[in-house]
Amino acid sequence: MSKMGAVLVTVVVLCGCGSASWDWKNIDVYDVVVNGGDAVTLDSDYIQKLEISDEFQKTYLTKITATGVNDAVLHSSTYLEQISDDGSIYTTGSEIYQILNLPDEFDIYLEQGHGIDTESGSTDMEAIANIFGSEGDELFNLVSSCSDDEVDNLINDMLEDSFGLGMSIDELRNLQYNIQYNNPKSVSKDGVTCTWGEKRNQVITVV
Amino acid sequence: MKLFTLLLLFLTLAVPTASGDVCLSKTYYSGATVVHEEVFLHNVDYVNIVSSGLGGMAGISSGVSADETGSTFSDYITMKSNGGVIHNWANVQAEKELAWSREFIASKENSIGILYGLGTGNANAGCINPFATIEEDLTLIENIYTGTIQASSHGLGLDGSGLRLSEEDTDSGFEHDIQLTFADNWHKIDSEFSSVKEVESKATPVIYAWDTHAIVEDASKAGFSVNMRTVAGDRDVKMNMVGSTSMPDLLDPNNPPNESATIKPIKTEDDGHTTLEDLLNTIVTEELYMSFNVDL
Repeated sequence: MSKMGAVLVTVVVLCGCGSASWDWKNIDVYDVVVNGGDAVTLDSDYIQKLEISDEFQKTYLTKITATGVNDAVLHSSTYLEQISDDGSIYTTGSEIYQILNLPDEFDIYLEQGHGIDTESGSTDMEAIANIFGSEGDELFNLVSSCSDDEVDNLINDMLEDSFGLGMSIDELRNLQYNIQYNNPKSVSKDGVTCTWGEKRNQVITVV
Repeated sequence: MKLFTLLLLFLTLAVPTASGDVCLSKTYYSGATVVHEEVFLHNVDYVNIVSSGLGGMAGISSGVSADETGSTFSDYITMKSNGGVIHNWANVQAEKELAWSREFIASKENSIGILYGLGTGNANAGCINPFATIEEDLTLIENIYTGTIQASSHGLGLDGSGLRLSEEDTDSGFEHDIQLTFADNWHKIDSEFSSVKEVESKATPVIYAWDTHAIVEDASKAGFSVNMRTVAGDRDVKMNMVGSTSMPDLLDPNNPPNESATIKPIKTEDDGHTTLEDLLNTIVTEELYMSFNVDL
């Protein structure tokens, strides 16, 4: 008998005036779907730090812990929209999906962090996945970043933390972890809109 | 198609394979419509058929490389009528093979379409109508690209897609620039992709594809986009995309929209031992995208 839990949270739409020349909107959304065994508990936490002056800095963290799950999906997105008094609209966003399919029922921890700095134009995204054994010991720890050149680190971290783990190779073969990052941006003025961005999809399986 | 049942003139030009250069210049008239085409061929098999009657004109032409030693074609066609001037062109130089076809219809609705494809080589193609221009420039290394260009009195369209699926152990890449001129402004996206070998011991191919789409719907609405994506293999992959515009208030020329990504090959031990790493399969898919849309 399995249970399924789903949480959809459309969180914050904050509007304000950052300075004499800017209006702004802040939009954050996260949603969670977990399929698991008899005892499923789900905790979610939401932490946000927003600093507003002429430029905007923001950190946005979403995390869940769940027990006895077979698979889980955590998705969070955050957008900052700046509206200039000359009619220009600038939007900076980031979006993360974590899709974790497990070989059996395990306790898990998933975390997604977003950082946006419109002054530097940078957007940072990071995702953490932990899998725990029946004794509460950590079997699997994977920290991933959307930054360039992170593939090596991804693998090295995974190796370092996975040697001596409590899963058998056969169990590992049924594990799949998919991380998707998206970093959309746009600027609009006088009927002309330019949109651009980067998507990165990392799928980790055992062959 | 009743147009073709009223033909007063049927003209067929068939140009056989020519290892040297061939230049063709032709003009067709029907009522108030004039069609002029200029074609240059090198090492291409070419066929051209034109039908002309009181109700209008229609023509189709096509060409393919005569062999794999390299081919060139330039195809310019202009159509003048009471509805204005529309113009299509394609210049393609292929180190190995190319192919293209082109059709035009001049009747109540005037239209021109060019479809072209090539492997390693260069291309410049575009289309013009009374209120817009779309143009693309391409440099291809060890991949393939097909483009379709449509022009009519009312609108323009360009669709292109490039691809590398080959497992051949070679470096590859492309440069692709596309520009829209519309409503007294121009907007442009420059894209680059390179895949260079770094790890000698492995040859997992880098797979990638890219798409372009541009459309001018009428005198008030237009847009274009570029999307490139790759599945990283054992090569050093660099992707870059930059946007620019003639509207200084839209984009900061000192800080234009710029997306880039670098994917390094996954390093592995060369001692032949089986490690957990050998059991792990990480597939990284990277995608960059950019678009301009105008809605006046």
